[in-house]
Amino acid sequence: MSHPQIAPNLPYHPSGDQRFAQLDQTMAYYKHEPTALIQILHAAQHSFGYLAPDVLRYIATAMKLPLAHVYGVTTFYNFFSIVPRGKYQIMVCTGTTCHVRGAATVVERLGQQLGVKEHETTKDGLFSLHTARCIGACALAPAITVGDDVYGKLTPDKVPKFCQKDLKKYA
Amino acid sequence: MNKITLTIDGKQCTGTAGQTILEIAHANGIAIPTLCYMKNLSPWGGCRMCIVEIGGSPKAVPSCATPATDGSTVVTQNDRLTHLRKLTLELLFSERNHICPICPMNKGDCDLQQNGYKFGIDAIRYPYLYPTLPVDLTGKFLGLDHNRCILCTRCVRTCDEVEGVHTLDIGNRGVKNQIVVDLNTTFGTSTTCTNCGACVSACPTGALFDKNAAFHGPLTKCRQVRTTCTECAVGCGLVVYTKENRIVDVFGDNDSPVNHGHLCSRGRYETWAVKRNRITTPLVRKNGQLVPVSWDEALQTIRKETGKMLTQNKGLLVSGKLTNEVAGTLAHLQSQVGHIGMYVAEHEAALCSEPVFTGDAFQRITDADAIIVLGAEPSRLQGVVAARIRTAVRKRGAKLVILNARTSDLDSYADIVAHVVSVERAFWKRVGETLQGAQRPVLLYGPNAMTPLGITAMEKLIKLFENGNGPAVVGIPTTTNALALAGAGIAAVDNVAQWLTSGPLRAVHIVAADETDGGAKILRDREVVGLLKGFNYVVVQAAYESRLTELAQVVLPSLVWSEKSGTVTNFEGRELLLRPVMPPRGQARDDKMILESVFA
Repeated sequence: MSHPQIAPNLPYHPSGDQRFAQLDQTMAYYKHEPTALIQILHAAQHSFGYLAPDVLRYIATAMKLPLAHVYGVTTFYNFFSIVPRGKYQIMVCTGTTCHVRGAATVVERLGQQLGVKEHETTKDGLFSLHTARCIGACALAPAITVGDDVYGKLTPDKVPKFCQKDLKKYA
Repeated sequence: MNKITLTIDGKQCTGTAGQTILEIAHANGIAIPTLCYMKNLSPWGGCRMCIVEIGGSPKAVPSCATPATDGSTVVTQNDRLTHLRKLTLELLFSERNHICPICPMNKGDCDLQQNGYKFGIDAIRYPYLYPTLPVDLTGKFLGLDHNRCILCTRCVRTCDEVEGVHTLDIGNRGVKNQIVVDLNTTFGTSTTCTNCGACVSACPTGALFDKNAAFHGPLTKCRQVRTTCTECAVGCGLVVYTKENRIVDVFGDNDSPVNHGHLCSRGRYETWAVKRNRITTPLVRKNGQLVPVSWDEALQTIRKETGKMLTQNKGLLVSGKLTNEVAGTLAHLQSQVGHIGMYVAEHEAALCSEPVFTGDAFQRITDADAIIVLGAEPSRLQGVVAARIRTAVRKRGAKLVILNARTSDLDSYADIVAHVVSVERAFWKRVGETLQGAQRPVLLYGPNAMTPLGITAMEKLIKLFENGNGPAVVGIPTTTNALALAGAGIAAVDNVAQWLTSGPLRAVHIVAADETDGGAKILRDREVVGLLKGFNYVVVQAAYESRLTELAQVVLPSLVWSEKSGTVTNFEGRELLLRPVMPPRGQARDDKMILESVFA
């Protein structure tokens, strides 16, 4: 993977942030192909945590893509976030089985406990609350994931206890 | 071109393979209702108004996006299709806040409303969603009200495919879908929007509207006049909508062979939506003040002061915006006025010295696979040309080389940008490699290519094509009719100060016509102000007040573009007709008539 030598003596981004240099490498790897936009957004979100306007502008300019197009693609996918997110993502499964088992109430109660609405981040910056279509753990319905951990059979009644006990482990 | 025949509503229709059902139906006089379809844009198939049934298949397909097949039978009207279309319309009406009485497109200009009437929608069986949506009124000339948007993406496609900047797109997903400007900013803060207004002319509802035209009544009730834009040398066709001798809105003329309906910000808005102080009566300086007088008095004052002057003491300096008819009059005045000159943009005199018109230049730019812009600034001066360049690069992969001192938005689309032309061999090798194998190259040059360095660069560029297809060399002047006026024998003047001091001039008559700056651009050279103050007599003939009219002893009001008649010649050599849209304001008179009465 070689980096395009446009201005080798200058920092890649006026901020000097090395994550932009990484992003340059990723874009060069995909040869700045417009079709690779989603992969590049993936990589950017991985290193920046979320896709700030500055990052989107940087990608659009480097790939010669219209800003509005990049924004459209970014906001189409649930996975991409344009606002800062917490350290851990709480995903509440809202697939058919979890829905029947009260996923909507789980989201509501989790929100109450954490003091946030869907897509928002707690004040301590630890958790962001999201919903997912189906995480494929129907046997454990209602199921949620926190970061990479899965918690099953989390009925609405168990939510307060879950927040007080299990979520404390992440602090 | 394979001919195909199909039956639409029992009528035998012929078309060519590859055409859509809708295109063939429209060509054969069969009306299919549409909303998101727009001629010359890629099909979207989003609104589902144009659904048809093919060969008795139970599936209704969008005719705008379905290629016609030979021998098929298409039904465009039946009870089921009407039912489905009504459902579609009701869903559209229920989705956002379509409150017709407070919409600028009410009573005739809205496709959604017209379709609603056509299908007799009097009640909606779905619950209204009443979403809370923002209204963006930050744009210089246009507003975006999301409440009235039906997400047909006509604006998105126009912005992408016609203007080529792609400022608009659809953001978010599902019910939250919304038109976004750049990174979800506003028109006022957009870095890419060119204010061309093409999105407004594409919008079927009142979601995008011209701020200056809003609530002036429906355009369908306005008088329509087709005329020509005189802001630059492109000569775009305009359709001007007027009501009670007031301009309500200006759109591009779809039938124009030049612009095919597209306009730039200058032609679409700046000629009428920007407030300027118009001169409506002749003015004569009395005791240091310009006071309104009658035409007779003004003409007498001029004759009294200049009548006895020798021919060589009188000078006539004219704008390059005048019509060909005025040029004819000027030719007759050569015997009465010692010096006749035409002031032009910097370096433009050399461009006018041997006027070259490249016929079908516009089409060549559209079809080009390599474009070199040398010393021209299409995105600032000829927006419609810039749009063609952008689309050629973005849609057809044309190579773009820009050699110009000033930066512009076109730079971001270019393969090579050089603000200073290098004589280095490595640079020219790179240019050569970029342009290699171009089949239909175009070299677009402007006044700034008329410098020694520019000419060297042009020679080098033409040399690059020695072994291949030579480029179409297109000169594009900054001043509207400069080429034709120069062709009529009026010398172009680069350096006004020099021209004013060249002869024994004592009185000068300046014809600024309807230049939007009132001719103030001749004062860009600071010496000129002092020189004009030193003259015995300065007459300025202009439509708008400016720093120049302040220097005059007599000011004569002339007509603006919307009041003029005559012809102008565009950079392709096309003679284009100007039609008066409105009667003259106040006592303003035609430039030709004024010149004839002054120099009678």
